[in-house]
Amino acid sequence: MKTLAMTGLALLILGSAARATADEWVTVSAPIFPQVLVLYEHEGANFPATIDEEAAVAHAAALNFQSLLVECQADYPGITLLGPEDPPLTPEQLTANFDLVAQCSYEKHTAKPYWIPQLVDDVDICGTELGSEWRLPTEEDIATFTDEDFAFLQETLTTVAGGDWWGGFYFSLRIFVRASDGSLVMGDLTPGAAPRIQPLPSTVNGTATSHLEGGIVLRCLHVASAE
Amino acid sequence: MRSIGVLASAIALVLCGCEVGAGDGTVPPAQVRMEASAPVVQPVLSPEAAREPGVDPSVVLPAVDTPVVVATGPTAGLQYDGSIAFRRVVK
Repeated sequence: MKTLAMTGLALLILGSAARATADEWVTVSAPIFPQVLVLYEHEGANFPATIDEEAAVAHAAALNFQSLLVECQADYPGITLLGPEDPPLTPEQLTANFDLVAQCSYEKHTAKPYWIPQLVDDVDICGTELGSEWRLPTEEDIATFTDEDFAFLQETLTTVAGGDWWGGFYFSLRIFVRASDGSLVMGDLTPGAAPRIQPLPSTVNGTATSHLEGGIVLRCLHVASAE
Repeated sequence: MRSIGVLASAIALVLCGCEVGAGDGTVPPAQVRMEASAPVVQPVLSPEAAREPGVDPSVVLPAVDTPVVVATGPTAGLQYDGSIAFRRVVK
């Protein structure tokens, strides 16, 4: 009996140790910004009548970082593109890319964080624009972030910001979040923010089918095992 | 007999991954510790293709779960696709 008990204890210890080393990668995407001129045509009374039409509008409006990187390079030669055989970019090149994409998104595409909340609520924009492994962050996701995580995100964005005012939206830490009750809310990733989760502010006409000028960006989340 | 009971409980705890002593029936939030992050640097294959209707961008855009370069400093988490990654340990 003692042997069996010892075996059980050993299993318990081994199981705990295995869980203690469950490393994972958490990735927070660059903002997916809408081209506001596209959104303006489809808000309020002109809001799509079906989910399929909503998805089409969201896709037509959405600009992801990688597409911008390529599209902006001609006008912003400071952007460095990476070819299949190229060595990894340096931190300085990555930083310059981020800052210039932020600038280009506004100057060339009139991209601002003015999503129509109903579109974000109804359409899987993260999965459509970045891939099926990406999703809208949830309230539960945010609850697992530590003070170190929030500080790390802020420090990174502060460091890469080149001071261009027009691209400033690109560095926002206020994001769309799926709340525990299923509603769409705002999450604030700023270190020390309180409350961390709160209702969305009102849109320009007070309905969810009009655009929201709250500086709230659509960032997506990807979590993967690092094993 | 009590030893068998202890063994059964221990095995059950291991298999279900329960936290010992949680007690209130809820799942406690993950205890995480952030480690030095590594940017994922992979080439863009075809962002234009990713915008075609019906195409899953993950097919043509770089995967994000394979760290390639380990860097240090405030931009250590910045990746080629503009995302910010960090590694953490879930205890």
